[in-house]
Amino acid sequence: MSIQIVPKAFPVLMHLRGEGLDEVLASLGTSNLDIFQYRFVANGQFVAKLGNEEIFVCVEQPLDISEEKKQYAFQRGDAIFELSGDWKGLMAEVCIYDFRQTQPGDFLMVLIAGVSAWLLIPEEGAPLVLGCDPTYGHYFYETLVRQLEVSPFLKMECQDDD
Amino acid sequence: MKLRLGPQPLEWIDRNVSVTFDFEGKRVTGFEGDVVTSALWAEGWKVLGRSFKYHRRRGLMSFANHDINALFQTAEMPNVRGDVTPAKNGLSLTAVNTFGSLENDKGALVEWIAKFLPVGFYYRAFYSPKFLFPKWERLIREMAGLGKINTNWSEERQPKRYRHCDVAIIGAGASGMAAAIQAAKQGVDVCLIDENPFIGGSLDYQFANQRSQSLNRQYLKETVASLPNIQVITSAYVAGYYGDHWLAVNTDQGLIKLSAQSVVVATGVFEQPAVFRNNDLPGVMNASAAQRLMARYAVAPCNAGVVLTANHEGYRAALDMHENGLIVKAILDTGKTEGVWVDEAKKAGIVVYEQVTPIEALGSREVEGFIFGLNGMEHRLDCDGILMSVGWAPAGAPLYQAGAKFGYEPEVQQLIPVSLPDGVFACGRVNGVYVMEDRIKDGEQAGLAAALHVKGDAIPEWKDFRDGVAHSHPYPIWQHPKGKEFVDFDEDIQVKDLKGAIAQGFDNIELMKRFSTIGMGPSQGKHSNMNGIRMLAKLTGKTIDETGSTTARPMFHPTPVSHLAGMRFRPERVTPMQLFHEEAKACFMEAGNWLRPEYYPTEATREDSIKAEVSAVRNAVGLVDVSTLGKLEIFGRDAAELMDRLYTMRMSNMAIGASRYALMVDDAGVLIDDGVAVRFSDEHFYVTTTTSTSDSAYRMIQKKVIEWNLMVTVLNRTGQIGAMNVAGPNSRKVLSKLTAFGLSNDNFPYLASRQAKLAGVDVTMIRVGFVGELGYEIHVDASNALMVWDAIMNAGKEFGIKPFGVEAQRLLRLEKGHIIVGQDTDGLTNPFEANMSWAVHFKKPYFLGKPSLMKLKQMQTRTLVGFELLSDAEKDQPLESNLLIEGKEMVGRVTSIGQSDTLKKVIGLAMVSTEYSAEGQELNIKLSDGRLVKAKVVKTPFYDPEGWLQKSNEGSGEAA
Repeated sequence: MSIQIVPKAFPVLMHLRGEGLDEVLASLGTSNLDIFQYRFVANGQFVAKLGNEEIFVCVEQPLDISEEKKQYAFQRGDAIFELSGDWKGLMAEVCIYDFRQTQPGDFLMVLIAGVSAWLLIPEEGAPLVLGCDPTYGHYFYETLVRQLEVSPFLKMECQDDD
Repeated sequence: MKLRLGPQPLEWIDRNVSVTFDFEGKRVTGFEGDVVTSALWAEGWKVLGRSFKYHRRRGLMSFANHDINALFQTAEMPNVRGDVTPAKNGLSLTAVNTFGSLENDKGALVEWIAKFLPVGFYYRAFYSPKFLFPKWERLIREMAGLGKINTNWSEERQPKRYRHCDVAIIGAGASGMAAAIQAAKQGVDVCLIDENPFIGGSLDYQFANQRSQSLNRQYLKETVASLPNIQVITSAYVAGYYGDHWLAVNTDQGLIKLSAQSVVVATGVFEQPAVFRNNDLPGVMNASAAQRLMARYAVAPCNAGVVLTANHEGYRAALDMHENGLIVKAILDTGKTEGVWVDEAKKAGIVVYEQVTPIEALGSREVEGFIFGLNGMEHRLDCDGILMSVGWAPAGAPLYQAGAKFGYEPEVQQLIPVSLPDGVFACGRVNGVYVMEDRIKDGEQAGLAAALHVKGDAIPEWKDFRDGVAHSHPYPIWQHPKGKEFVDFDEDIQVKDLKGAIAQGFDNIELMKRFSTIGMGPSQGKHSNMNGIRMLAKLTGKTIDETGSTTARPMFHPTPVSHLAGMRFRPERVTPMQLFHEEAKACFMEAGNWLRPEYYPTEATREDSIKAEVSAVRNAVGLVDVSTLGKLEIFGRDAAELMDRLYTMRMSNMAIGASRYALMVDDAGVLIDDGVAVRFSDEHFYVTTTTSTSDSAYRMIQKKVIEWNLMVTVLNRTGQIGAMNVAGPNSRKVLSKLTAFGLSNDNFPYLASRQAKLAGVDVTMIRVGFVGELGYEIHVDASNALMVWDAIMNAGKEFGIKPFGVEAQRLLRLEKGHIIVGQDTDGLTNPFEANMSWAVHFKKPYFLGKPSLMKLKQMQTRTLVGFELLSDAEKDQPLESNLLIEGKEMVGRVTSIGQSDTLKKVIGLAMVSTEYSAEGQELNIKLSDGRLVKAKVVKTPFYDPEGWLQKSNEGSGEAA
C-alpha cells in the first residue's frame, strides 16, 4: 500500500487550559470525551481532551473563553499533515511507539524523528492526521518525505499538494 | 558443472536461470539461488581462500554464515561472505588476504618461517630496539587484516525501523516453527526470524532425504503460513539482544529494532570441526556443511569421501552422500554409535570402522586421502573429501546476551542453558534436544510458555526432552607430532599454540583468548571456542564449567556500520521568518537546533555586511529575529509565587503590564538562564529564556511546580510565538506607522509591556532591548509573525531599516556590556562574578539557589570585566577563550571580543581573578600563537553608559 503525505491547514487551532472547559466540550457536542481521546466534529475539525482542565481544538471560529473564569486559550500554528496509506509502515521508521496499542479515536503524543508530535489515530484505512510545533514543520515534512524516498522497507509514493 | 548433483527435493536453486560471475579473473556459472561458495564448489573450485597467518589454501568448511575460508573482495566491498552472498550476474570477486593471486600467493612464504612465529610472538618481538618499531608496524599492518577497504567511501546510512511483537522467536527450524505455532495459537503476535532465505532450518538439510520427516515439515511450514499472527522475517539475523527484550535484527534492507515481551531462542547449534593434522585442507568440511551443500544447492561435497564421526548425525550425512550416488569410502566412527541411521548406513553397504583415531589428512593442494588409526595400526583411504561430524556447540549468543547461564551437561557433552532470564526461553538443539520429535515438543512448550508469559499466566512445569545421548565428542582433538592441527581457522591457531599459551600462564579462558586470539577472528569463535575450552579444561585439570566460556557480545555476525548508524534524525527548527531570511540570502548559523541568520550579505564581505548592520542599528533602525528565545506562559493561582521562587529578583511585586529582567540560577547558585518576565495579569506571566535553554528551563520549571505543589500551569510556547526586536533611534517612528497605539514614553515607557494591534494583528510589545538603543520586542502568534516582520521592513524603508543577524547583535550587546549566558558565563559562574548582584534579591524568603548564593557572595574570587585592547587590533586581535596570563599564572580568559566600529576600538569581556579586575588594570592576553598582547580593564557598558539611548531620554527603571 503506497504512502502519501499531504500538508494540511486548519483555520483555528487552540490549546485551552483552565476550569469549566466541560461546558466548551458540551457546546461542541463532545461532552462525553475521555482523556486522550479525540472526536471529529465537522469538516475534519476535531476536539481532543488532554486532561480534566485541558483540551485541544481545531474549529472554524475561536471559542468563547475568559481569563476571569480561569480559562486560558492559546492559539497554535502547528504544522499538520495527513498521512494516508500504510502510515504505520512509515511510522515504524521514525517512531519507536508500538501502534498496536492504539485504538481509533486515540489522541497520541509521541516523538517522531526526534520531534514531539501529536497524532489522531484513525479508523482502519482512514488517513492519519498528525501535527507538530510549527518551527519543526519544515524538517518534519522533509524528513518523512525523504524516508519515503530512500527507505528500502517502504513502497514509495509521496504527494505534495503545496 | 563438475560437482552439481541432480535435483534435490528441497533445493533452493532455480535450474532454469543461470548466473555468471568472475572469480579471480575466471568466469563461473551457477544457478539463480546459488551462493558464491556453492557456485564455485559446483564448478570444482576447492581452494576458495588463503588462511590469515600462514596463507594456507583453504576451502569450504562450515558453510554456515561464518565460513572464514570463503571471504571475497569486490571493488566496493571487503570480506563478502561467500557462504551466504547470492551469486549474481556481473559480480567480480577475488580472494582476500593474498599477495599476488589465490593460486600464487607470496604470503605463503610465511609458513616457511612459521616456527619463528609462535602464538603471541608479536607481543614480545617488536618492542626493542625501539627505532625499528615503525618498520615492524608498517610490515604488520601490510600483512594483517583481510579484505581491502575502499577509502574513497561516501557516507552511507541505511534506514532503521522499529517493530513490535509479543513473542519473538529466533530461529525458524523445527523447534522455532513449533514454538511460533504454539505461541500464535494463544492469540499473541509472533515474529519468527531466521537468517536463511527460507524457514526450515536443519529439517531441510539434515533431514532432507528423510521421508519420515516430510509430514512434520509440511505441518510446520503450512501452519506457520496459515496463522496471520505469525510474521516471518527471513534473511535476517539477530545481531544482538538488549535489555527489555529488544532485539537488533539485521536484514539486507537495514536494521530492525524489534521489541518483544518474550523471546524464544531456537537458534540451534554450530557444528564443531575435529582437530587433527591438516584438518584445514580444502575438502575437509563439517558434515552439516556437506548436507547444506547437497540439500540446498545440489552440489556434492566431493566425489569419494570419508565421514569421520562421533555421533549418528555423521551417519545421516554419509547416507545423504550415498543416496546422491556419491562414494562413501567409509564411516570412521571414533566410538561405537548406535541408532537408526547407523543401521541404515550399514544396511546400505557403507563400510563402518569403529573406535578409530584420526591421524592426518593427506594432500598438497586439496584432500587426497586420510590416515586413521585402528586397533593400533595406521590405515589410509584415498578420498577427495572428509566430512567431520564430531560435535556441536550451542548458538547461544542471544541467550548469553540476555543473561542466561550455561552449564556443561556431560550426558550430551554440550553446554546447555541452565538458567534463563524472565521472559526468555530456549528450545531445540541449543537446549540440548536432538531427536526431531522432541525438538518439536520442546519448541511447543517454549512457544506456549512465551505466550503465557506475555499474558501474565502461569507457565506449566518444564519438561526435559533431552535424549540422554551424547551428540558431541568429549575431546575431538588429536595432536600430531608434526602439528598443523587447526583449532581456529580464522587465526590459524593450532593445538601447539594453545598449549603454549596455557604453559605460559594464560590459563584462564579470557586470558587464553586474548593471548592466542582464539575466537577473535571474523567467525568470533563459532567453530573454535568449544574446542578451545575443551583443551583448556583438559590441560588445567578443570571441568568445562570451571573453565567457563568467553563473553558472546553483539554483533552475532559482522554487521555493516551503515546499518548500525541508521538514518540520522537531526531536528532542525526554523523561525516563522525563515522565508524572508532565505529570500534575503541570509548566511545561516546553527544555534542549538535552530537555524538563525548569522548576517545578511549586503556588502562585499562578511565583516562589511555585519558592520553595515551594526551601523543601521546605531544610526537608523534594525530588525532582528529573536523567535528562538524560549517563551513560557505561566498562569494560575500560584503563578506569582512560582515566579518569586524561580528567579533571583522579586517578581510578585511587578505591576501588570511591566516587564523585568529575569535571572535564574540553579541550586548551586550557578547562573543558568536569563530573559525577560512580563506580567499580563495577577495570575498570568510570560517569560522568555535564552535560545539554548528553553527546553531545559521548561522541564526544570515543570519539575519544580510538582515539587513545590503549586497551582500553576506552565506552557512552553517557544515555537508557537514569533518574536522580533526593532532597535535603533528610528524604531518608534517605524512602529508608529503600523499601530494606533501610543508609543510615547508616557504611554509606553522603558521596561513596560503592552498588548496592542500592530499591522492589524494582536501582538505583545515589550520595551526592552539587548543592543542599547530604543527598542521594542514584539511577540506575535507564529502564523502572523512573517506578516508583521514584512510590515515593519516595509514601514522602515524610509528610515533606513536593515535586518540584522546574530553576529551584529552579539557585537551590539558587547558594546552595551550585556552578557550572553553560556558564553560569558561557564558552568560555575554565579551572578556576583557576572557583576549582577543587583539582580539578586536576598530579602525574598526563598528562591532557587538562594542558600548557595548567600555563601557564594562571601567567596567571590573572579569577576567579569570589560577590557579594551591596547595593541594593534588588526594584527593581534585575540579570540574568545584566549587566556589571560600574569607571570606564569593563568588569571582569566576572554569570554567575548569584537572590533567596535562605533567605539573605534577592540573591546571585550573577560572573566578574571578579582585581584586583576580593578579599572585600569593591565592584562596580558595570550594569543593562540603564544604571543602576549596588552589590554586594559575598563568600565562597562562601553556604549551609552547612562542608558539614555535605550530609555529614550526618560528616567530609569520599569513602569507599567
